[in-house]
Amino acid sequence: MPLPAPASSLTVEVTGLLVTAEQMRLMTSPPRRDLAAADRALARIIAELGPDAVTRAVLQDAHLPEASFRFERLEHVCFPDPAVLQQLQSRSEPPAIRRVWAKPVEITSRERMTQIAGPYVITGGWWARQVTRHYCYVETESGDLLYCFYDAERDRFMVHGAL
Amino acid sequence: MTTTRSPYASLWCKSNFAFLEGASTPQELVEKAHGLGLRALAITDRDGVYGVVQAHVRAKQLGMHLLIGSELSIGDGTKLVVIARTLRGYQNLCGLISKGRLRSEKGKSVVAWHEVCEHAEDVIALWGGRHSALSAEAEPVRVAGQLRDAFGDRLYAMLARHQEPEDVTDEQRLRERAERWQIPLVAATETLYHQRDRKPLQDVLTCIRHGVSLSRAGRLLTANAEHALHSADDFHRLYADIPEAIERTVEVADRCDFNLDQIRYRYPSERLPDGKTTHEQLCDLTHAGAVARYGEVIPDNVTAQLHKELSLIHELEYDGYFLTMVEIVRFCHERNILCQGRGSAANSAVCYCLGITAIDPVRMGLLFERFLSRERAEPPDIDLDIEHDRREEVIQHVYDKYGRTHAAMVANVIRYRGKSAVRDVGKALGIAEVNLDRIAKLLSHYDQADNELLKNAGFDPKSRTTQLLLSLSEQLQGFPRHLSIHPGGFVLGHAPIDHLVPQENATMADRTVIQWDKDDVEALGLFKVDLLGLGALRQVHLCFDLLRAHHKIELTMATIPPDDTATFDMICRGDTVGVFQIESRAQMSMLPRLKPRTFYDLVVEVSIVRPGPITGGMVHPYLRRRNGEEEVTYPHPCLKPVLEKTLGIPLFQEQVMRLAVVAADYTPGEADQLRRDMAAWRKSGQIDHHRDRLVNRMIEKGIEREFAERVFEQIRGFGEYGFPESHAASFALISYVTSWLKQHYPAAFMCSLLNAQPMGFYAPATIIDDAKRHGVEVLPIDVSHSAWDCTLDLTAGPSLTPNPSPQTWRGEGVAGDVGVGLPAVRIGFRYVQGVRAEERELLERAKPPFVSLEDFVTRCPLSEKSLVTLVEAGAFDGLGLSRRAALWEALRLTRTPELPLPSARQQVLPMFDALSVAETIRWDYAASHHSVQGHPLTPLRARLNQEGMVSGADIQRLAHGTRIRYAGLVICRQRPATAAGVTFMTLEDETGFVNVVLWQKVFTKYTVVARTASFLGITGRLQVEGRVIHLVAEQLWVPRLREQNVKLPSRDFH
Repeated sequence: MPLPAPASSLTVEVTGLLVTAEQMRLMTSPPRRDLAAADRALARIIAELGPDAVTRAVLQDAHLPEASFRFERLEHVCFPDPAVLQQLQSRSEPPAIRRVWAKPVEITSRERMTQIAGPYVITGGWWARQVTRHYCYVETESGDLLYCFYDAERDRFMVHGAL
Repeated sequence: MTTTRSPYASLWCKSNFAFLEGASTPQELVEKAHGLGLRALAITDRDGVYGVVQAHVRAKQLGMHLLIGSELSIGDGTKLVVIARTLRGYQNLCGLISKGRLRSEKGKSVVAWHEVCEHAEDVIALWGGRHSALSAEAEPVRVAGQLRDAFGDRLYAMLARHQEPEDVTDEQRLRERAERWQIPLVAATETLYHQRDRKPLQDVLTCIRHGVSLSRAGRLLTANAEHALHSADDFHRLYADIPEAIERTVEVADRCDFNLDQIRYRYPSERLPDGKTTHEQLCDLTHAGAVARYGEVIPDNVTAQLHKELSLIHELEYDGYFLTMVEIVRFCHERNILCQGRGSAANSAVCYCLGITAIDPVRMGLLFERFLSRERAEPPDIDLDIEHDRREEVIQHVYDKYGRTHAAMVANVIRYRGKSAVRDVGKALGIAEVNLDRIAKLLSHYDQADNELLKNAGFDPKSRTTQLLLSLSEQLQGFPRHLSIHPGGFVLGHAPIDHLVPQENATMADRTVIQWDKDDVEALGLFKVDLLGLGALRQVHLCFDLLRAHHKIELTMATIPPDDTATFDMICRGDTVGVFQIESRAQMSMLPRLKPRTFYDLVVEVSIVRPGPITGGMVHPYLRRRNGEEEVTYPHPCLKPVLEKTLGIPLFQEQVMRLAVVAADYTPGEADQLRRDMAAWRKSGQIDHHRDRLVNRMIEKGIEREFAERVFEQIRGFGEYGFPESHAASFALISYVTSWLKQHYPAAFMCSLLNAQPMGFYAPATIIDDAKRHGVEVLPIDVSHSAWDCTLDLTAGPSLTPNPSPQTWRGEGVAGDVGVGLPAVRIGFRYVQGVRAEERELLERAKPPFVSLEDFVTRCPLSEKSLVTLVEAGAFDGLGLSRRAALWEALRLTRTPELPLPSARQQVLPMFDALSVAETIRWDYAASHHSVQGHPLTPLRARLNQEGMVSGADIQRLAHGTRIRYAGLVICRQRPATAAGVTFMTLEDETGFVNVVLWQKVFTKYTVVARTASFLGITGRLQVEGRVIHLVAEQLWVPRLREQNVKLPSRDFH
């Protein structure tokens, strides 16, 4: 509707109404984590570096540490399970993380061990290649916490990870 | 083994009777525990006490303290180990396991915590281990309270260390809770094998149980080999930080003083008329039976024998058992079910008078002590043969009479044999099914795989997988695989059965089974009633029915005329296909040599073709003496009465026992012990204890050392394989009856034999061909004439008088024949493969005749598959349609949707070629496993002749030593253990059978063909000895004929 002359003032009358979900969405900020954006980013990395460039570790049902997980390709990102998060947050101190090395290394150091927990024995694989390992957690004089084993089949001591 | 530490008790051990979990036998566990000097050993199989009797017997021999318990599966998915402290505790344990088992499907069990608590009296509970609620994350506050209330100081918190990382957290939780709830700690390991080298086998068992291969089993397998029995040193080292938990293992063992010898068994008592005692009732029934058997004047020797037997039966308190058997026999008679006692019961005059057995032991001079003796503190064992189709009625009658709580069937443990072991181990090792099939084809049920066999199956014997397959399948052999049901063994008890042993559901509906097999039951001296199914009795019953219906002849087993010349002529010819017990290849070869002419000859015949007499070297001397080629002598005059019946050669178990009594002054009971040791000598070697005693005493009697030694060797050779004379006599009676029926009424005999299948030695096709060779006309399956069963058709057969002249037996009081022609046999629908039992009613309801196939389909709406098979079997040939045309029509009818109105459109039937004779036979075999049109080799004969191959009939006319080429269908392969590697085969063609002998060298050279070919060619020489002809094979080959042949099922290596 055309006005006959320029407006000199404006009066706004406000009445209360129920807010619709659509209106609310306009007012809130977008989520901080955009899964779709992450997926797009992943796709770009995969396109650039190849399909095996982005992987994640998945638990496997096996006794040997190196066989108890595998890496699978990651093409989609997801949020962590809230229950798991809650469980982790409820701990008084963070859980000890045992990092298993891709390849065990023979122990050559002469450093004194101050504490040993174990042994925990794993025997198996006899149908392909017999494995007998006596695992233990070792604290060294310098304070390192190592995950070691005695390889009974080959009579040698190995480090397989650290805490 | 010596130990420096104080002994401990192993409280949590699972044997291989924890099916597919434990990897050692109960005996191995007991022996190892004894060797390690353990204070005690508990057998705690999963939800059962399956292996405890074997463990008990061995533990008793070694003086080892055995605890009996079980690992219970609880409803919440956790486990609890319990051990019986006293007899009451054992009864509670059995009751609890029964509860869990009977509510679950076969092989499973689950009990609730409140039920555990209800059965806690005198039971010790060990709460711990990986799958226990006590070490689980969730705190079992309520359960802990329940268990503490129910078990009190009999509840222990069980530590279980296996050197796995998870042990640490589990144990932390368990110890913290145990301390809080004041439950004492006890040390244990979960023992799954007696020594570490069984770990691979245990892994394989785990894979079999879960149906996975080793490479995929992951954490289903145990992490390490720490589940073996530990020495005291190792155990102390393992629990060095908590010695009181080790001491408590001994405390637990000391609190348990139960062993299986404490089971007090009472046979169920009968309700008897007029306040009679069981003994009075048994005496009355026996006397009445004696009058029926012998007339009012009972011979003195019979009276004396009955008195002796009844006194002993009463003294040993076995009267009730005999009354049970009488009641079962009475039930059978009332229901017109044929039954007959077998085995050693036929040695008893009481059993004969009570009608349980059919052989007069007094007249035959049978030894009662073989059945029952004072020295042997064992219950009698009466086996009752019942016609197999109706045995279930009798079984259900026993359940009804005694109730499910007081009657249960004995288990049969299905064990791994060669074939099954290779198959399951192969799957666990990840070997492809198709490769395992190749081995299975070459391996008989009982054979063990070896390098040679695996090489023949295409495996590399040097590969690691092949070596593992061999060694593990060898270890697995004999292991329990699952529990089945004994063919007819019942345990009856005055007290509920689950006070003796847990009960569980069988696969078969309406059956419950105990957790012990017949050997366990026997080892504990429990009473067993054996109700065994016997196809031959069913056949005899059916044959009597046919004779009554078609020939108006009323016969029973007792009224079959004895000593019939024509029957014995037939037997002497070895013409005994379908005849009970004397139809096998070996028996048929023996018949023309032994030439039985009397009933007792038949008793000898039944017994002599047994591994006992064969390995004892008794067969040839007996035959020579019988044929007058060797003088009948006795090593000492005192042995003449013992051995006279068998021409100086011991053939029966009873003779061996009598020989010991007469020549070596054994008491009858000691003689029976000798028999039992004979049976077990391979396992125990106990027979050698008798050697000095027997030989020296015989020498003292004036018997030459050489003979004494020979007799001992014969006794040892007898082993477990000799028949008791009484048993042979019971079987010989059925052999004679079936022989008589075959000789005099071949059509009725064959018809009944076909209707009683599966039974006997031969496939239906062989039975039909044999009957045809005896002049019986066999009519094909026909929708307009066939019934479900095979039937006699009096109008269709050839006009012949019955096979023999009946006047030879009419004088014996048997009703005369009606004098009609020889009836034909019409094959019934039961022989059409794939026609379901539920379709039987449709077939029987649709009344013939049918005017067309469409008429049949309208009135009898079978499934398409069944209809097609009927067509292929030639059941519509009588409607004037060729089989191919009928097949087209049948498929059109079943696949054309039903129209709302009749269609005027005519279907045009394509023109089909008729089947050739060879094709017809092939179609017949494919659809019904037989052909009345002819033998599969009939159409090939001209071709076989062209190739220079003779027939079975030709062979009968050829001279000893003739070299021939022969081709036939293999119907039987046997490699008896007694034949030093010789393999026997029976081949069949359209003219009859040919017996083939393969020396080991030939068998090895041609092993694949010898084991697998169904149509086999043989080059070899004839060995003719009187009427007995064998073809001794030199080369085997598969005949390459253009015509495709049918494949017959053969009876291989049984």
